[in-house]
Amino acid sequence: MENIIECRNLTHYYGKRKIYENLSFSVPKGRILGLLGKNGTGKTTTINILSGYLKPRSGECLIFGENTMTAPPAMRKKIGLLIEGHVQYQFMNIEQIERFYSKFYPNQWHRDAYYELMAKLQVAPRQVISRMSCGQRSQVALGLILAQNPELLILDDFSIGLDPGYRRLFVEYLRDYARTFNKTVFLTSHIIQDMERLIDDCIIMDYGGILTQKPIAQLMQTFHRFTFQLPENFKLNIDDKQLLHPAVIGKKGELYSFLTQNNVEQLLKKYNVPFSNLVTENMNLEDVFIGLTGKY
Amino acid sequence: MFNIFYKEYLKTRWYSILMLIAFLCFTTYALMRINYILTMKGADHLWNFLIMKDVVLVEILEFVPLVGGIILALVQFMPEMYHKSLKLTLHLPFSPWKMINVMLIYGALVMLIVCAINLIVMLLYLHRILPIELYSRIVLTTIPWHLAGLAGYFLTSWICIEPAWRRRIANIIIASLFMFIYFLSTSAEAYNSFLPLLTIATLLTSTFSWLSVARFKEGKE
Amino acid sequence: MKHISLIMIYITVGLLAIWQLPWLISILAAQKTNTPMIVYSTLADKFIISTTENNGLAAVQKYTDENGNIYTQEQRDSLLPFLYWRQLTADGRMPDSIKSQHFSPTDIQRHRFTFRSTPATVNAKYPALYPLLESQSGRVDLEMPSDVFRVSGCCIEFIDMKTNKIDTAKSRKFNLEFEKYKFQFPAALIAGNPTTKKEYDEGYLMLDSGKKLFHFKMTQGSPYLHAIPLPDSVCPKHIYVTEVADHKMLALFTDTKNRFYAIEPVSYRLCKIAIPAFNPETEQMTIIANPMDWTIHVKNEVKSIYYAIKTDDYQFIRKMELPMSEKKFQGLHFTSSIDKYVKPRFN
Repeated sequence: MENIIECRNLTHYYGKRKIYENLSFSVPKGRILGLLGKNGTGKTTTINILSGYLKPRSGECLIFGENTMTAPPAMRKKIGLLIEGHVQYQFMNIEQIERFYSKFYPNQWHRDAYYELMAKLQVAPRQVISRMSCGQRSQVALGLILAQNPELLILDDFSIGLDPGYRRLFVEYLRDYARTFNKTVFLTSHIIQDMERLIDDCIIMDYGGILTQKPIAQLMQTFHRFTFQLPENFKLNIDDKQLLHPAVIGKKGELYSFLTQNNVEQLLKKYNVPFSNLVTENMNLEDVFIGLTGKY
Repeated sequence: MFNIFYKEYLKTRWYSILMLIAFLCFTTYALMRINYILTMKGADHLWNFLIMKDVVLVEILEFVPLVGGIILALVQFMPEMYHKSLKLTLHLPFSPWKMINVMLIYGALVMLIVCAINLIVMLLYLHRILPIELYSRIVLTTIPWHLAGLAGYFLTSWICIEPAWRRRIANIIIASLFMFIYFLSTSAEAYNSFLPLLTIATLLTSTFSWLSVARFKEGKE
Repeated sequence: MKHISLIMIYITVGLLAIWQLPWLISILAAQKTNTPMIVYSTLADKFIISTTENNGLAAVQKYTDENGNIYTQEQRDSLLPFLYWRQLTADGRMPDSIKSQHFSPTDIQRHRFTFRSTPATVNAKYPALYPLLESQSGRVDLEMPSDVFRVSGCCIEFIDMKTNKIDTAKSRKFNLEFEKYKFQFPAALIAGNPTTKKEYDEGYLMLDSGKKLFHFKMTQGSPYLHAIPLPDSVCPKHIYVTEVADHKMLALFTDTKNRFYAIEPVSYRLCKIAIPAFNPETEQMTIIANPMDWTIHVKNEVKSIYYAIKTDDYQFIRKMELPMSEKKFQGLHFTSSIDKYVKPRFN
């Protein structure tokens, strides 16, 4: 399948602080990819590199085969960008902003898509964006991207500042649009529940690099939480890369793993853990994320 | 290009009108002072004063274009720096260099139009009461002040777009020193022979903003 | 684009540095210097030097001559009787005669004058409009006219200041006079003192484009134009109409070779003043004249020279030279002490 985004060996530091080293990933056409990670793991850094607003210390990022740092206008035409906080020109009203953007995308502009969304907003035609709520602004920003009808959408933390209703509205609109028109989407969000409804693939980042990149369905099918009973005051000291974040709460032990129940059982025995009642639990995306990255 | 002008127009329309009114107020005040001398002390007093003394009687206008230019740049570029909205502008399918140039050309045109209206108003009055030797002297003396307005606009844009605060302070120091050049003498027509070079230097300060845009695009902080 | 921008900023910063740093250094290195007053004494045949020295809090006056002899204030006054005649008269010490010549206070006052030319005023640009005073109004006080004249490429024009219109009748009348004297328009040089703060008016000296010098004034409403004969080798460059009280001099001027001349009135006789050279564009000149001699001080960036010359025939008497102590720092300058222009200059 054709890769729309291709990042190779990205390394970036802020001063002496390393964000990541040799990060590589790609996003195939028609997929919705969510970039998940705790604060400070480099989500915004990656978005900035992708949108051409940060020069990585080394490595390169190609979109439609072109380097993002030297992105020609024709390539940017195919990319819809939502910047953090749904920022749009504060001094324009919804008509002015539509008129402004439409001229830049003459043969691809879907005016109706924009006004369909705007019709649902309770804003006066002359109300400038700076006087709108964050939710209303998010709809304007989304409407503009939908009208632009780009092949690739890059959305930086689309859920920030939105109340649940608007968040749901945004997710549904976006999913529907991306699926219908086979668009590629690269997004980040700090609210993981939303992502589950939306994304096909995810990249989970930890400090310094990628923990995992998988289709979401595969991730949720193969990554489980294992709980088991332990004797009182038992200290669970396992150092095994296949058994993640083992912890004990009272008499109950838990850990996370991509392994099957049989394999986990064998490993626990190998480490002489006096467990009983080993149970495999399926998780939602948020739990998967915590399982992979830890609570701290 | 006109579409970019449309955005700049939306940002600056009210301020542009305000700036024009303010300029005209100051000019009217300066001309009223001249008119006062004319009516109270007579034309000969006014003429001899302008011929013998090293003054042009419109000195009150000295810093008006500079202040106007600085505020115009702030009005035009502060909204672009609000939550880094410049990202939206530079993401548009348009060369970023052309984009910044068109934005600066718009501002320069606003300055030019406001200054031109100002000068025309001044000339309309002065040419009635003074000979060309004297009104051209007054106008020529105000040219460096008007150029200072344009340079103030370009340099403030440069400072505004610069993404890193430390560098921004350095830019402010450089710009302030540079602006001194426009105000080194209050003598009438002191800048005459320097005007062509000063005009070129003023226009070249517009290129400074290219560095700020490049640094913005590289994500310098 | 980024590189062009960087180069422009580097050039700007470089220029600002070579402009500001020498200025800062000169501010830090600046020392207060007191310029002494040096005047030639006919009686001593020496230059007398009066210096003010700052001795801590008080300013102390010191009087010496060029050989280092120290004088009291009274002795200094006596050595310069034309300068301090009022003090000497008050003290009852004014001599009856100086070098066997008797001078009344009126004589002294009439024959005294001071003249000053600085590069800053010479190099300044003034509007090319000139008020022409009435030279023979019959009144003691001079009056400013209600019009000014300009000399264009083809004629002289009088503009009425009240109406801002050309006075065609007056212009025609004056142009006839100019035609009669074959004045070649435009004028290369026009010099005069259009002020009422002088004792009498001699109008203007004008150099036409054929390099002929004219004396031009208005007497009883009519033009007075007179060609001033000059040797071929003398072409005026800077002219000063002097209008001194004793009517013994019409003007001073320097020529293109920086020679210094005086023109006498009526006869329009040309007299070379016996100083080597004076360039008004770069040098400052002060003349303190009395009935017997002039002390001419010519100062430039490197030296300060005092000349004494005779009042009668402008012949050389004596000279004294002092080095200038002002340090100048190399760099970019926009302003200068020798003119009022703002322009870049590397020196």
